[in-house]
Amino acid sequence: MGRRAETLCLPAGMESLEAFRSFVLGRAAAWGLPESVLQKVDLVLEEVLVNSISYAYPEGRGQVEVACSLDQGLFRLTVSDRGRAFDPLARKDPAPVTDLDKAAVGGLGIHLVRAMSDEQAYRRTKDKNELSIGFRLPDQTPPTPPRTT
Amino acid sequence: MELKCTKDSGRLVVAVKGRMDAVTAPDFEKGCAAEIDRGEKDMIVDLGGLEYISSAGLRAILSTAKRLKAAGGGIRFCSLKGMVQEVFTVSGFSSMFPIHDALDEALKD
Repeated sequence: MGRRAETLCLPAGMESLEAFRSFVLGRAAAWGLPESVLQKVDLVLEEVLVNSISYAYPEGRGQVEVACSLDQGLFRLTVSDRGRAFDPLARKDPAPVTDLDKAAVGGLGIHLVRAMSDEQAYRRTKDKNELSIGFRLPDQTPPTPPRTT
Repeated sequence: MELKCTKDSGRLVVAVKGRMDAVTAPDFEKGCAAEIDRGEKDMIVDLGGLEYISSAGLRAILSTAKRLKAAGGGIRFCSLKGMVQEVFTVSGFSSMFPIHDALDEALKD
């Protein structure tokens, strides 16, 4: 099975959320991801995009790049920006909230990212933040490669 | 996202439909704040029509719950399904708030 990958680059703003979402979910569905994984991809994409949009460019506007790929039963989502260095995975995962008075509003997004995906990695290369999230496809639904005739 | 506030057996029921994401979550918070400002202290949130919730939705719920508690009341949820139920579980919201399978059970409690 060959590796497939596609990329979309848009301004880092909330107005780009819907276009990124159609792009990623469109590719993921076309590549045969089951509904159960699509829902997780949908959620994780919003969390990492909102994170990047909120923190990357405090003094102006920049671009966010979203790449998705499918290789060996692993769907990978990579969100990059050229904003200030920020590693969302550096934050310790908070204990699940059980008490309303103590419940903090921060950290929920990255907690969901960790819970809903199988692999998470951050790296800073030159001036680029790159957050890569992997979703393993269930064995019973192997993606079918495109027909080549 | 669609928000519908009704009274059932004298209690406020907020039915939410669609997606509660970074774009729509503020509408939930505003809609609930308006009810609290009208003097409502207890709220049953019916999530039967909710297909999707992100951390932005959870934060809107948390802020509404804190407001209701400060007013001397509380919030409960019913009819969670699919990924909404999963997000409530992994975030700890299922242990923090009363959750009911159906609206009629929430009304009895």
